[in-house]
Amino acid sequence: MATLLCGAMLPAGNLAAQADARLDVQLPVRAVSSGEGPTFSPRSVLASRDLRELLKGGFPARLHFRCELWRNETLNNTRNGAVEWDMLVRFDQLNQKYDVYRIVGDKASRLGRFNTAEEAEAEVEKPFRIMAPPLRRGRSYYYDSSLDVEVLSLSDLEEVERWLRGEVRPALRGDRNPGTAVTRTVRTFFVKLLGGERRHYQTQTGTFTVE
Amino acid sequence: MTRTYNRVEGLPIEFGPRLRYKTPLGTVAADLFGIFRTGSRIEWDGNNVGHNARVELRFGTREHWSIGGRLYDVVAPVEDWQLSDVEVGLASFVGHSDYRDYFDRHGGGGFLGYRDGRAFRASLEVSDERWRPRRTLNPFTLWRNDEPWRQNPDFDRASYRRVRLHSSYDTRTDPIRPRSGWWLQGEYEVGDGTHQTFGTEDAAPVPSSGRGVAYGRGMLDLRRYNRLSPSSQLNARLIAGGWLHGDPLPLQRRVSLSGPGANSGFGFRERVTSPDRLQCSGSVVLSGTPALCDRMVLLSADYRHDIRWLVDLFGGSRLIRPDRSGYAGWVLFSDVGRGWLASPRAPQPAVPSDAPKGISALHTSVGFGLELGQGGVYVAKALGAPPSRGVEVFVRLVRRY
Repeated sequence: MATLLCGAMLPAGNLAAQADARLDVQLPVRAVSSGEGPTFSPRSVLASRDLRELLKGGFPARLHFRCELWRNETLNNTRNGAVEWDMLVRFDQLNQKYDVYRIVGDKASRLGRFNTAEEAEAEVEKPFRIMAPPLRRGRSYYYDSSLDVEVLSLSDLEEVERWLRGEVRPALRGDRNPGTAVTRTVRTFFVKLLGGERRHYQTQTGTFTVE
Repeated sequence: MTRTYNRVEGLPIEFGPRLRYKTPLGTVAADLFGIFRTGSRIEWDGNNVGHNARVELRFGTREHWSIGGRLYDVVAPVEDWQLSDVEVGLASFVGHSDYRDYFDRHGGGGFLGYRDGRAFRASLEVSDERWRPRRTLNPFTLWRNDEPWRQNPDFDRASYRRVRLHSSYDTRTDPIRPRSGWWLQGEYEVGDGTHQTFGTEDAAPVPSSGRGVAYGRGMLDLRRYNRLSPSSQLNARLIAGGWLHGDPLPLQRRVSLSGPGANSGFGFRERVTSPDRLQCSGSVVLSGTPALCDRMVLLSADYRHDIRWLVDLFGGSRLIRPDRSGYAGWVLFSDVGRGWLASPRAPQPAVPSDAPKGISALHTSVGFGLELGQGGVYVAKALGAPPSRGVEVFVRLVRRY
């Protein structure tokens, strides 16, 4: 109810952008026992005015992807594997550019520098394919995927830099910041006040049988 | 401790620094909080202020040991396993209904913890503390502000040394919307204390200067989540706990199982049978109807089914995606359980001789719910109750378990 009320107070364009926001997951043309997995394309997840303004204000946006492979058996579906990765979008105030990163495992790679938020978002929305976990022929599977979009606070910037260097990855994964000696509570409240709450998107593919 | 709006504190506001510092030995974490309680009206007095300070040294990152200490003067709930903090706070602030009872805990202690970085964690805590009853205040509520609150029960005054061992094993696929996995939690607590007042299931606390009480208490919470198909789940939870050995439990450590967070077909603190197998009230109903059972057991089962067509029918993200998860579903559930006294310690003339015993004394509820996002609206009916009793309708902001 709270979300619906908040939505009602948003400008129409902003609402439309949020309403269309989703995570698209496309299965490969042929599901074989080893090879290509699905592709992931977030749509309009950074398009809301709140997020854009926070980005422009220097708050980095973190996109955390999670893909689970489930085996579909009668009355017993089991999870056969999970893959996680991140994307990071931040605005470089000095050069007035948007940086987009993808972090897989401990390795961060910069995907590019962009002049506008739209260009950065277009980069974020480019399909990204993962490798399929080991699959067994003749078995039925499906993917459950989620995307969490979270605006990080300004004081996380140093941590972000270290994260991109592969030094303190766990610190942005739920464990609290070990290097910051000020309470997060006020910052978190401030970010939420600006509309930067965590947003969760979930999608499930249809079932497929491995050839 | 409680961090939510309630009828004995109003809004408890924690303020102070949260410090994190890396040393060669490990990470030092310190939370040094003062507490200000808004109460019935905002004023600075001894009852409205408290503190909660915690210092911990953690060795390692994912897999780690930790050692630390705490000093506190807090208001603690008697039972917090039934509803979440946010649900209790909103029910109090909006609906003038507080689903917990509270007492003061003032003291300090030390703890040793271990996490394997994956599923297992354990902790051992030793504490020395004073317990005091907490009187009901009259904090502001949005509705029914002029009505009286359910009285916070009159609890024992005592000093206790407690040793608490807690462990858990968690393989759930997701902590908020688990699809499959186990979540097992166990707790064993030994208390050795001296009472200034002592109450029983038949009498409010009376002066009993110097009365020694040594008890053993345990709680077990076993949950299994099973995904039956891409769109359905069958989940089960067994929660059991209470007195294990020693003297009768002090009032603060007893248990109950009525209300939307427990045996959901029965209203919170509702006394439906004699003997009372939900709160174990004796022949005298104490003020506030406190939890008085020595032991309780509750088995819940939920069949949950996604409603994807509903999401698609209404345009997906536009109407029924409160948390943008796209989740909507229905759930059928059942709760079976009862509480009891380990041994009758006082004559109970109100107990009829033909009262059901053993398994036949279990209370059963069945229900149906519609879930959107993380919570939902539920209807539950107590089986065996007269039709005139009707059904319980409630809203949850998180899943039942």
